[in-house]
Amino acid sequence: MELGLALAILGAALAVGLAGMGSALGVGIAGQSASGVVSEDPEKFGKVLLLEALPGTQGIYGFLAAIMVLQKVGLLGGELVQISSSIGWQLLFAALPIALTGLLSGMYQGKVCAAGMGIVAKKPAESGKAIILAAMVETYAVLGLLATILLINGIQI
Amino acid sequence: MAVRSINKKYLVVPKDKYQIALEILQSYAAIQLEPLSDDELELEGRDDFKPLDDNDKSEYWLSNIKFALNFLKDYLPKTKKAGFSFKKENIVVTENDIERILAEFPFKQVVKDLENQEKAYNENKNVLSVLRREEKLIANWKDLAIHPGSYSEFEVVVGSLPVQKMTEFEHKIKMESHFFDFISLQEQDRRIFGAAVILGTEVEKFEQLAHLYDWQGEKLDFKDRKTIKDLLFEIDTKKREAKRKLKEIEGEIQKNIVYYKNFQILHDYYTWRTERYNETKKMLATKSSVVLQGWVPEDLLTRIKQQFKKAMGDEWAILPAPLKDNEEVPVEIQNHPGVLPFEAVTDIYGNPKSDEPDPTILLAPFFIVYFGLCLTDAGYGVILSLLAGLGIYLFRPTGGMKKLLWLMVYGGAATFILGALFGGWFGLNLETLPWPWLSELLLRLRVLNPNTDPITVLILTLILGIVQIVIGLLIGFYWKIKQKKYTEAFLDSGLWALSLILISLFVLSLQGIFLADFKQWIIYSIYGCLLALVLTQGRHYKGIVAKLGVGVISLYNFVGYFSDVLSFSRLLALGLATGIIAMVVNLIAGLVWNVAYVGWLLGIIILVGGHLFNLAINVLGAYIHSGRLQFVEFFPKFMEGGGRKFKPIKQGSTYIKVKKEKDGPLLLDDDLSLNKDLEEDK
Repeated sequence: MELGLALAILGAALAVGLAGMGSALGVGIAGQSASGVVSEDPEKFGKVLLLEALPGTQGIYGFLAAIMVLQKVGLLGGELVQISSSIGWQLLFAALPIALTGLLSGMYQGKVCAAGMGIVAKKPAESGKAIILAAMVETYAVLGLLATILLINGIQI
Repeated sequence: MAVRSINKKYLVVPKDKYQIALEILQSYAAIQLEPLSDDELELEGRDDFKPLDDNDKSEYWLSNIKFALNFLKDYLPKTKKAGFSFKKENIVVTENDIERILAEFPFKQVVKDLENQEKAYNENKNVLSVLRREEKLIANWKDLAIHPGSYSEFEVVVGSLPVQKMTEFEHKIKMESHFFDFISLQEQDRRIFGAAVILGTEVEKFEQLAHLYDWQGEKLDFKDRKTIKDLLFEIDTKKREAKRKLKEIEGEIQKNIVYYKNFQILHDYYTWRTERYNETKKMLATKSSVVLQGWVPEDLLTRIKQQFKKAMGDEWAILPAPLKDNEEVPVEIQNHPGVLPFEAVTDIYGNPKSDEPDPTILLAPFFIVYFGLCLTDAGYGVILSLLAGLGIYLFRPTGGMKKLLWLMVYGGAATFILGALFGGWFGLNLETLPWPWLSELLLRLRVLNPNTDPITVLILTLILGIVQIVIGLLIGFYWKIKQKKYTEAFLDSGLWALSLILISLFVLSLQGIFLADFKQWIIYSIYGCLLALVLTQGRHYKGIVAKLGVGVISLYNFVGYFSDVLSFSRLLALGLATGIIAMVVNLIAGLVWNVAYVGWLLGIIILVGGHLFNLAINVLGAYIHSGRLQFVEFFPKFMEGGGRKFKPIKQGSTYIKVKKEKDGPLLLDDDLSLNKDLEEDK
């Protein structure tokens, strides 16, 4: 019984932790390039900030998955549900898609955003294209999140 | 809803009137000039072309005007300045106003005045800062009754040393008192400032000794030896004088502020003029005429011809110009004002090619539905529309920003409708609302709950995907038919569209939803399509083996279509994410609500901040992902894009907006009504 809960919490922790790491790395990489652009042309701050924020969504997706897990087991207000270790494992695994896709897509989206800063710097009118290029990477985190949501929804307690 | 029809033309105008012609073209944004060279066009009686306004130096005056604007900006009344940055409103003028300002406003003189004023101002500013530095320096010895320097028998030096060395230093000085005397004057920043009176022959000795105690000497040897107090008084007088002068100059500068608006108008006017001058480099001339080559939108031709006739009689010609090999025609898309906001989406991707359809109106219905699905919260929809509307009202944006904000207004509306249908209201649980009647009303509006029934929504998104992809293929089909590319139309677009439609029908009949009795027939038709694909898709290759091989491999495209459709599942994920984060915000606010005394305040902060944050990131997500579904999944079915943008020479606006008289720009009939604003300013 106790193990079940612990596993569910581990799942939530991994979702927040790994996806958050991905975002932290991504936003970090993008932010470094962003500073470079701003140092040349402070007026581009808005555009650059938008691009820097893009890899931030993975962390939010992970957080969202964690909340769903915590709610499922009643850790967020309400009755604490007694769950078997088998259910615990299920929740842990269900959290993995967003955890893993969040980690990697956050990182790589950050790199695409960092490269996209070049577009903002040299061809500001084409900044939208940099955003779309970055959004391509995010697709996989979105799919990971979708899988996680469907899995958590599907697990019967 | 279309790509504007733009053709290449030669324009021949009299040499002495080419400026008027250019002005007309610029005021209508009617031509994108292409450089014309002798290799391209052999002109009889070719002559050098010396632009008439070569000596006019519009660029030089433009930079002068920019200086004036920049300089005067700092002296604008505060409220006006704030008004300018907050609500950018263009000054509306007519051509007559511009003419009048050019005639009546001696701006070249004013610029000279401003330059002089700036110079005088800076000089006085410098004087003042030198005086201040001096004052600060000598103020430390202000109680010294004698001026430092050499006298016949002795020397007076001033300096300072650290407080903690003072006692020792004084002691030392006392021992040598027949040579020196030290007067300590005041203490500041942990240093004692003072002066030493030294016997003429012993100066070096003093310096060596003082050096040991961190003595920092200061040279204050002024020409006329007054006491420091007198010097300070003098400096003060000079300072006052400099300040008075600064005030005076400022007053003079202030007087020029009335011209600020005139300068703004001239700024734009000279920008146009400079642009026109730069364009002259692209023209060729004969003895009597000038030839321009450029892209002219078909819809403007009549009006241009009218204006040319009015300005130049019959001494001009507009002729069709031949296209070069593979020359790309510049593209501009034109849409109904209602559809215009969606150009914000098309603009990200770039223009279609000149022979491709304008995707704006085609993507509009899909985009707006996807946008709503990514948010699915009625409350957020209302807030988004209101915020965007407020933005439009306050900032009066133009161009891309205006389109984007209007798109957000539309998107908010779509979000409201879809949110109500999906039961999303700020992430609240509708079953447990404190007001049963509201709960009942909102639940009645809800037709689908994505939280409990995500699979239905997933299927819905996939259906939207299939529909859009098939429509994309059908658009491609229609467009190719229109261009009389029948083979491509039927085999590349039509066949695939048919296959996808049949496969969808097959799925429906398999589920018994539709055409269940015709299942077998549908299957046969699908086989037929597949066979047709295998037979036709390799038709560009030589040899029967290659043809069939490529045909078979082309079936792999179905995987592509399949993944295109699956890509639409993101709509569900993003929609759910908005709702769940909203729920989490409510949850956290609920948790802090019970904190003693300040709970309600924290709760409200979390609610407002949290929901705004959620709205912001999800609007961004909704915008880019809905856009991406257009660019990656929809556009390639019927267009390639990458068209060259039509960039005509035009009256760009930084400050002013020209109100056209109906007959066009060059009617200099004497309508003597002065622009009221201008009058008020003077």
